Amino acid sequence: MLVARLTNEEFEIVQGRVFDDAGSIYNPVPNALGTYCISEAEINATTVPDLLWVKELPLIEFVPPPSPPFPL
Amino acid sequence: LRAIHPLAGGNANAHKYNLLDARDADDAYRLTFFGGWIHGANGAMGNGINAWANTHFSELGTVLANSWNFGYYSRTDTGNIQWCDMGSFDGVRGSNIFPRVTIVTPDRLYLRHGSGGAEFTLGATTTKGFYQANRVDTTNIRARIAGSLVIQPTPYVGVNNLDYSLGSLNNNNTQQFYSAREYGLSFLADEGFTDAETLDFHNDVTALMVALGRAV
Repeated sequence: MLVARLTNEEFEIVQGRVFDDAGSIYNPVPNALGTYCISEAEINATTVPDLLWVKELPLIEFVPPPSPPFPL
Repeated sequence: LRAIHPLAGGNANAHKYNLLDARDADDAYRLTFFGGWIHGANGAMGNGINAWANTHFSELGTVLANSWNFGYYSRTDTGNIQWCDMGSFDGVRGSNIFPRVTIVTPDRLYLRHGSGGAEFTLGATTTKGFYQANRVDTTNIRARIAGSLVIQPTPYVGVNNLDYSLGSLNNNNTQQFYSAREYGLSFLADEGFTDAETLDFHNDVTALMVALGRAV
């Protein structure tokens, strides 16, 4: 799964922002190194004009963090 | 029934609406999509990383005591993997569906419904089809999974006030166990169904999926 890494500044800009006309909202998540990422699908679906810069971010393979404990 | 999300129309703007209350509002139980969903002609698919949808449906003040129903139509078959398709958990009480996981034994349906925990003794060999997590009393979950009635003795412990997620588990307002399965429909009911009603609903939803060309 491809994602784009965000700088701290970029994270602050996109966190919780609507990115399309359906009201879909970015959900940055940390990778294994703790760097926040957004997914290729969010980037491709972005239509809000002042957020189109996300389409220029390089894509890399997502390395997930360890899974949380199963909620027994 | 409070909501049926038919996930028809092929895009996020069409997929967010509740067939029973088509207002573009949280109190109409419209879906709010977060993260990287793939929307298409067959429904909406998560990415297993960060995609989930808020149903804006919580149990507290909404459902009858120990009697409600919720679920979804899954078009994706997977092996054992800790993906939650729908629900919430507050650490004590929860309602959620992990359709095929290994917790103690491989290939088990792990399903809560107003309960603390329940690993169904039912073997889970697929994650496709229409899932109804149904309860009508304090003693048993009476789910209907891909048409089959599944009765599991599971004590009712109460409701929580967390919104149900679609495509992940809302674990005390933290989204976890993101799923990458594709959904053809989801629903929320504030009252439990009889066994005959879950069968009728299964048949109706299956017929709808056939009519939409997305049955599995």
